[in-house]
Order: sequence, then structure tokens, then C-alpha cells
Amino acid sequence: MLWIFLLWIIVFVGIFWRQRWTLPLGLVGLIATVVFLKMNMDSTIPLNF
Amino acid sequence: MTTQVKLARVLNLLALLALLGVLSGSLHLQFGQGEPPCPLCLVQRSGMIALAVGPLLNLFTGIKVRNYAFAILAACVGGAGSVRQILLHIATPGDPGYGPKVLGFHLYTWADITFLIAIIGIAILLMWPGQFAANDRGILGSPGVMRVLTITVAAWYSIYLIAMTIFIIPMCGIGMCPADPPETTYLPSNGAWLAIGGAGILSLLIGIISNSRMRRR
Repeated sequence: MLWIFLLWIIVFVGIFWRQRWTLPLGLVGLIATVVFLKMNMDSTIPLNF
Repeated sequence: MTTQVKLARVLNLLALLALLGVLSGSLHLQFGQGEPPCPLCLVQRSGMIALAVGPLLNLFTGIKVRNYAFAILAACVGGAGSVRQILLHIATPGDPGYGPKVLGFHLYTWADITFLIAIIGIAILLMWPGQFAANDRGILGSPGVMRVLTITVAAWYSIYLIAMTIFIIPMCGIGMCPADPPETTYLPSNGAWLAIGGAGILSLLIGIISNSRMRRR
């Protein structure tokens, strides 16, 4: 999960510097979040919070 | 710049402030009441941070349809996390839910309400073409109170994001997070509110200093 938040920090740097790559990188962050959600749903932890 | 663009900027800023309020509440629970975020809570936080990216881009680079579209996608992703958590607790009979209730609802329920309001609000905003008519290049070229407030809010989000990222390390390391993380209180309840207020004051200072530096240039 750490690296997803590191990715958001880079996205915020892109917002401040008004970089063109900000939105595509943000989309990568969203996809990473969905992948993390899927991993959480597939884990064997009881009542996976 | 048209009045409609100005109004759209105000609405984007108000949305960011509302989202900041929700994040402040969750950070207070984490640092002041010892309620660490669970993995699904982190998914929702990631969605909230992503949700803020759309309005921030609207303010920094100009009001654009693609920024609103990104915010809708972010609300869908965050909402998927909160719906998953709500359903998990509904599916288990006698389950009291995860974490404390705020005004009668658990935080994941509030998160879901926030994401739903965001989707509906952005959909309504997209029906208003006047805000896209002008060739808006963002607020940084327009000195004034709105620029100070925009930089303040962006700095405040950045401080929250850095705090969230740092405190993921002791909880989860660099891998997957534990399902039910142990309770750790970092600050007394009032101390957590003071830290949140301090982050706000620091952000305001950053906003004022940045605004005056841009004016000099």
C-alpha cells in the first residue's frame, strides 16, 4: 500500500508543477488502488477488513 | 475570465474543503483516538486523495472535462472499497462493524456517502457548459484571495498525504497491511485536533508566502 501513496505524492508534485503527466499517472494510481482492492478481496484473512 | 469560471473555481474549492473535513476526521480518529486505518480504509483514503486530484487540477491548470472525469473515476474506485466494507459487515450476523461510529454511521459508510455525493455533484457540474467556454489556464495566473486559498488547500492535502504515507510504514511496512491493525494512540484527542489545526495554519502560511512571491515575479 505504501507505494500507492508514494505515487499520489508524485501526482501532487505534478499538480504543483502543472505537468502533463499528472493525469495519466493519476490513472495509474487508480488502477493500482483497484488491484490492491482485488488482492484484499482474494486474501484468505477472515472478514478481510 | 468569465464570472462562470470564477463560480466554478469557488465550487471546486468548496468541494476540496468538504473532502478535507472528511480526511481531517479520519486522521483525528487515527492519531487522537488510536483507530488505525484497515487495508480497506486505506483503499478509501486512496480514493479520497484521488478524488481531490480532479478539483485541484481544475484550479491549477484550468477547468476541464477530463479533470471532472478523473474525479468521477476516483469516486467509483473509492466507493467500491467502501461498498465492499459495508457489505462485509452486513453479511456477518451480529457484526458490530469496524471502528467507532460518527453521527450514527461508521467511517466507511460516511466515505460511501461522500463518494456518492461527489459523483452526483460532478455529474450536475458537467451539465454546465459555461465554465468550459473560456480558455482557462488556472488560478496561478490570477493573484488574490482565491489563489491564496487554493495553494493553502493544496498544501494542506500534501501535509495529510505525507503524514498518511509516513504512518503506513510502521503499520504495514512495504508489503500488505494487517487485516485488523493494533490500536496505537499517537496523540491525546485535543493534541490531534491541535496538530490538524497546526497543519492548516502552516498551509495558510505557505499559501500567503507563495502568493506574494508569485506577485513579485
